Amino acid sequence: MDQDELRKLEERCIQYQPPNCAAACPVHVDVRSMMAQAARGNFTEAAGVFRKTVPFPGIVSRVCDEPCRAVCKRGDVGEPLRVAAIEKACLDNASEVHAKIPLLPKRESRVAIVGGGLSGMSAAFELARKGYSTVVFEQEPRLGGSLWDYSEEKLPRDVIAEDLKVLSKVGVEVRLNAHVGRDQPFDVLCDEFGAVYVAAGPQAHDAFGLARDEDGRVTVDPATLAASREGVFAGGSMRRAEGQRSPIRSISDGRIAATSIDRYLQKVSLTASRAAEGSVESRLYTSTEGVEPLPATPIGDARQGYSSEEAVREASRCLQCQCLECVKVCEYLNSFRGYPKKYIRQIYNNLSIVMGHRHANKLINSCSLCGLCGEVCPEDLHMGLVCRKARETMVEQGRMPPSAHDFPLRDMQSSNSETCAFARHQPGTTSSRFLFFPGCQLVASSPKHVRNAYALLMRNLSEGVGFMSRCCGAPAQWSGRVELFEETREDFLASWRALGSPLVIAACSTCHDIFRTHLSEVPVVSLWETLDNLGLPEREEKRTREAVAVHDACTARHATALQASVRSILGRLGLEIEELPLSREKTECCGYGGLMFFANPELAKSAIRRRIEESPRDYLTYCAMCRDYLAFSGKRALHLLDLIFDTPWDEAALRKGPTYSQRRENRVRLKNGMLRELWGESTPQELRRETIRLRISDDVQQLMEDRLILIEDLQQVIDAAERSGYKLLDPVTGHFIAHDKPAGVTYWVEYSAFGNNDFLIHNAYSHRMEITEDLKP
Amino acid sequence: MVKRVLNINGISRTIIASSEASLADVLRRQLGLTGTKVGCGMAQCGACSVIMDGKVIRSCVTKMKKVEDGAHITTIEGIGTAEKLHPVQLAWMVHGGAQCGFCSPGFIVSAKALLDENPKPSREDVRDWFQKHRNACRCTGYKPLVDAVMDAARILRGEITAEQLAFKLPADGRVWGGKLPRPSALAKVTGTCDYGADLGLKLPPDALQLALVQAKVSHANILAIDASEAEKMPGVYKVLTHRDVKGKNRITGLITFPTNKGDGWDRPILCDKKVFQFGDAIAIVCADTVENAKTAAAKVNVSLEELPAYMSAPAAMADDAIEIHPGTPNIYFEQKIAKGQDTKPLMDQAAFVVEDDFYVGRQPHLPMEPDVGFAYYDEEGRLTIHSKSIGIHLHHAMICPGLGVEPEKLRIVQNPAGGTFGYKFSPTIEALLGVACMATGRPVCLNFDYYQQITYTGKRSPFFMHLKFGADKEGKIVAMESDWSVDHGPYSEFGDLVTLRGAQFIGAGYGIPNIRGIGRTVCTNHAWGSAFRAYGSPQSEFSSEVLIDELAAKMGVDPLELRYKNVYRKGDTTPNGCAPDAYSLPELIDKIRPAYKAALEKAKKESTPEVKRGVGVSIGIYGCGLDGPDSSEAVFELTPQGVTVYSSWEDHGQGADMGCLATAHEGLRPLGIAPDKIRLVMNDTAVTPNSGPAGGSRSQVVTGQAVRIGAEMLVNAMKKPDGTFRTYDEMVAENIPLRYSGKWVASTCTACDENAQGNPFPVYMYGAFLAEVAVDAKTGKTRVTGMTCAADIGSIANRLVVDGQMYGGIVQGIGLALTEDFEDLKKHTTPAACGLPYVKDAPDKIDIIYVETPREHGPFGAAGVGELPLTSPHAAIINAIYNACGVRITHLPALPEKVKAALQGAR
Repeated sequence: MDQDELRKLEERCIQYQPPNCAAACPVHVDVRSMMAQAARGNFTEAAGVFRKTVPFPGIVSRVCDEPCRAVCKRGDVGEPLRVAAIEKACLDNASEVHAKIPLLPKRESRVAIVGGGLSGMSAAFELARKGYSTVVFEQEPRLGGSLWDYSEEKLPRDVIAEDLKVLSKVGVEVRLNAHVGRDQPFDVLCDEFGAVYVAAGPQAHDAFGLARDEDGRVTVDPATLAASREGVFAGGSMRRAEGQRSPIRSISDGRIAATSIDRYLQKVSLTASRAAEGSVESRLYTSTEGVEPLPATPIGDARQGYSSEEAVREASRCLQCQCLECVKVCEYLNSFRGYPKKYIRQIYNNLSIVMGHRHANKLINSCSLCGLCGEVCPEDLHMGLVCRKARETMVEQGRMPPSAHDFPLRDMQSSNSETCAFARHQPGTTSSRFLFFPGCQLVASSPKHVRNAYALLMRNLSEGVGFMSRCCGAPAQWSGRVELFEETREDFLASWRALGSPLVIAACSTCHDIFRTHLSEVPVVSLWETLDNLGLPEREEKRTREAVAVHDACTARHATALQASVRSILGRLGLEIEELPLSREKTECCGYGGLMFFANPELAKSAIRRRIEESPRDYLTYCAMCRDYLAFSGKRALHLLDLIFDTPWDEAALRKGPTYSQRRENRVRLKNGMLRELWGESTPQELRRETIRLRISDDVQQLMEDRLILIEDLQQVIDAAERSGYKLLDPVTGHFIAHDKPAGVTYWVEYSAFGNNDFLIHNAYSHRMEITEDLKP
Repeated sequence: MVKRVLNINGISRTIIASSEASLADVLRRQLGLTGTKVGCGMAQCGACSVIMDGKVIRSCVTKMKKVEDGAHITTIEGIGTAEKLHPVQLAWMVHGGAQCGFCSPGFIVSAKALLDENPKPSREDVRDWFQKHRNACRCTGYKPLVDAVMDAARILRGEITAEQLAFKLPADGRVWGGKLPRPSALAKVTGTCDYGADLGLKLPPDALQLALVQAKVSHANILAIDASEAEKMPGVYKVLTHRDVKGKNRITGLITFPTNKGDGWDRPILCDKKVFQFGDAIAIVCADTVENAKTAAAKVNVSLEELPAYMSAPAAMADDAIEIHPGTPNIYFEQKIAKGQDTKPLMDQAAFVVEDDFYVGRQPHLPMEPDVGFAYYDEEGRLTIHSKSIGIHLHHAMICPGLGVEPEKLRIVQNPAGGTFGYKFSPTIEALLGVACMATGRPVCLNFDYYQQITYTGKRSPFFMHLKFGADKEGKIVAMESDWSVDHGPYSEFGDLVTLRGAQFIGAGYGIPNIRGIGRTVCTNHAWGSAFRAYGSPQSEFSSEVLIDELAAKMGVDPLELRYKNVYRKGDTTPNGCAPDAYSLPELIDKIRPAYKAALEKAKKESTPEVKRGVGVSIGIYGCGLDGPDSSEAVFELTPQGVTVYSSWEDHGQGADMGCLATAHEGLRPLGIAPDKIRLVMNDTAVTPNSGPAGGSRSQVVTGQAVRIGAEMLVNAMKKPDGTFRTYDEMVAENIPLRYSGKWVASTCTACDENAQGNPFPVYMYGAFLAEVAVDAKTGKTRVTGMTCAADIGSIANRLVVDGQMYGGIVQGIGLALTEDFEDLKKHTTPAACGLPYVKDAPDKIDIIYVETPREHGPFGAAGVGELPLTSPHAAIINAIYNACGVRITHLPALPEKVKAALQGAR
């Protein structure tokens, strides 16, 4: 990822975009924060937010024409918030805090402001803050311009007086009764001052020789407010038609002009990077689904405005607009306490650190890559793709901690090793039109179903159904091992071509997905579509209409035909279907996807918990890992093959998945058993260390499971220790302690020996050392 | 051209030179007399001093047309030689007068002329002489130099002999804790130490000279770069732009705190899309001579769209400020501190509450030697870059991806450095040299002039601070609230780190149980922030050391005693919530108390309405090491001649060679080896291990530990069962390895967390400062008349080096307090305009009192030293001004006009 890609990705996460109100406000009052504070009754803080942006808060809260209300999302579910009324209440109830106005160092240039109305005063305030000597020329004996046209009730005179004090605080010089054009020639003003802002108000009868449109209004560049004369800028009501005048836009004009004048005097670009000034549109998406409509809070005392209680109530109606569509549905995105834009930057930083802590490794490796975020994102931002690419980069840079994916990769290696992998034509044939590919996890989880399904396919399909047991390479792909995946792919292709390039019937949605997206030359169909077409085994009677909740596999997210066939099969089996709130293309991952479970088991467990709480019904899955992970967390979960082959319901639903060791063993046994029984081939000799007998209690078995330690790992450690004598005797317990490091992981075993090749295991643990570089300046 | 017959160092030489050439250039380039150094090149530093016809002149501004035929010229080479040292040279060594050594030839030549004229000068005569001849030193604080001249005069007058003055090892042969002059001192005082510019002149004749095309504005979009005209200029070999950079064209800050909103890859080697600050490099002209390169550089046409420049943190933080690095907010990092309880209720209940705003500015480093370096391909095809780098392995990693060179094909070597004070913690010209060498395949050399040194190297990052203390009725501080904004310039490298320093050192030294605060790093268009001695603490501690005086004033108690009440005692923790490694502050205050009382008395007595005198105090703390488990490595090898020590203990001029030698010698003491049998091989990534950068006073502690361990490993390997030691031949005969790698990790340390809590440093330094000032009531000018510092820097490795560090750091503190600044790009462009203290700006009275608490985690009990003297002396000075005249300056520097205005305001 280079910086440009980073920025493009970041740009697609709209959570950082301002809410509509702040975007529409020409001076960008942070309405959302103000409402959050006001809703908590923190009026001082709320008023602080308001004052930070608005130099004349008392005035604006009374006369603002509120462009924010037209775009308020609350308007979709009730009435828009009464923003100005809340602003006023915040000011009324705030304790008096005079925040310091930061002033920049003095600059040499002087600026003249023609007109002391809202716009001119705003420009003067901003310019004085920036260090310019600023002089306001007002023809009347008082500042304020058309503010005085408001009634005393609407805008009390003391409020005006109070608000205008800020000008002297920042050092603005005011010349009253100074009629530019009459007392003071405009040309002289232009000569004396470095720049001039003309904001002479709606009734300006003199345009000082500046270009005007046919209606007599002064014409300016809308982005910079530059008028036709060099160094002169104009804005406020004098550039707007009668019906379009707006106090807040007058203030905004003053601010825009001040920025232009600052740039003009610095002799820098007037136009660069100014897209965010004035009213803009926000791309922020905010769902109002499920939000209860609420009308505006009535104002009890119209003269006083909102009371503090009323203001709290009204501010509480604020939706606090934000997107977070992905974070709402994803445990992973939620758990790192941010949102994609932040994550993308953290991931990018992680990848570009040459030396130092890589804090985001876990962030990168915890994603299930399931793609749900992309489905719900208004801008189709798919964090899974970002994470997978990041993993690939880490692997390429040699910076992937070996611990993260060590276990599943070795599991994959084992699945594709001589002891587990094999491929054959249908017994008694020499060619295959079809190839049944059950996938390594179904083989590991339910070898019986594999055999039954194969038998069923052989019965119902002609022209030969070959069989292949191996792993499709998903763990390599998920862990970012591009080269390893490529090797795995090539091995598969060689084996598949040797069988005559048959049509692959995949039982596992992950394999199905991998074939479809990465092995386009391989024709593939799911087992479910195949069975749906072929018909199901005859059964004695239809089930009584039990209902199941379908948990779609995340790797089948876009496989609509597959999803339909699963539901069709369920219908044929006479089952009622409950659709989970997140299903089909919006399904959630079980925690296995992307190897989440291995990189971040705690997160995976909470993701599963979240999933199983969505419905009390038994879940129906069609992926062996989904079923086993759900069952592991105590959910009653069935595999579609359980139903097809009529496993007793409770037995199927309650079955705990096999342990990791058993899964390995199942793969070996399936191969040996099938070869022996279907193809009449002899099976290989058992290795010596496999003859080592271990006695393992349930507790220790559970520990091993949590720690991803296999029986064969222990056998190997004990074998090595017993052969070499390299073991420690704990004199207190009389146990031996031995360790061995076959590859990246060191295993420790505490055991006692009972005669030859018979051992009792007391404890087992391992370190999967994280390799981190550590150097700071 | 002019022809001159000159008598140079007693030999008549015929010289043909350009009439416009400077005498310094002719001596150096045409006669090879590189002992005469060129520092500022504008007659403000005196490094180039030579004696012409009996008068000290600055040869850098003396044009050849002004040099008369037959003139007698004495350069450093004519003063004395290694075999036959002049007494001034000997005294210079004995008093530690040569730290970086870059100013030494000029000073020695100048002192020789003084003694020729006045054989019995007073100390004040010596100071007047150096002031008059503009001999400037940035390292020593001047006091050792005056000491040296006084002793040299005594030898010349025959009052003592050279032998009596010369250093002699004590009877036990121990180097540790003594005053052995640093190994490089002899070369430095004789002008034979070759710095980067000297080596640059001695490169093979095909070497290309580089000149930069630099931005003259502070912020702009680059629209086009047209070098076609420049390429046609005489002598030009090639003009390079970003298109010629093979790698990512970015220098990386390496470390990005995970919450940093920037990415650490924001500093271009050669600007491509934008100009971020004045001086940014846009193109490099490679030519046969510097003159041709510079002339052509002026012909490179750069079209820009100028953008508003944000020249301070508040300007860049304003709502309407545009993003300087598009996609990254200008406030790109925030560091909180939260220790103990919430402070708000405590403040509400506190008997005394004080708060104030503080500003410490963009202090320029002002080393005597401007930045310089060169690059070539070595015999193994490695791109080899020589520079003043004080982090050779660090810089290797920082520039490698930007250049696009394989790590093993990049080699960085440190030249002898004429002072850095931390600015060389950042890469400066390394990557530019790399780009030019890679693009041309030829040796290349780049030597900044002093204008470039000032305007285009990193500076101390200004802190804008607001600080509040709440104290109980006894004056015990119970709560602190802090807020600080760091102007880090446009480049983020280490910006998050210096912001963290605010959390670590605001209020340091006091056992404050409850703290809340937040700091932020702000991207601006002013000079980028780089490390500067005492990194982050002069800013941080200025706020707390002045505010505690405000608290004392409010309570009506003595500021020293209020400090005494609050300093760390058993059970107290640092702002980071960890125990300090020593509790020496009460003792340090006890040590300065008599001097404090006497000074108060004296000030009271001598104060007049015209000249108001006052006394101020402060305490200073700094950590030794980089945050968390800092580590280092040093390699020992037994050779037939003795022992060789390989380390990357980089030298700013502070005395890395002496620190390494003293530590190695102490470790090897069981062998009874003489110091001259220990050979130091230093600072070359091809041959020396990664000892980490030389910064944060870490070298003596962390690399010192690695050296100690390496020495011990070798000693152990040589040990026979009977307790005697094997010889080299015996080791070889027994097939025992001769090389040992000492490695040390500060394993007890943990980096600070999001609330700035942790145990970041293995060792700390502690000090108490006492300043005496005289303020001219009419002009507002402040003069520092005396400084005293009680310091606990652990066991002392070498007293000369440590004294030199203390004096020099304190005088930099005087500069920081009163004169030094780099703010105005038009005005602050010379050493004098930047407020460099000359000899008369420094007091002759600087007293150091050591308390030596051996440190558990320091080698042989040593802590670091370099940063301590600059932690807070400026706060003591500001407090003394208040004591003198009731004026509280909280926005540095306290220039006369500022003090004057405040005096008038007070009236």
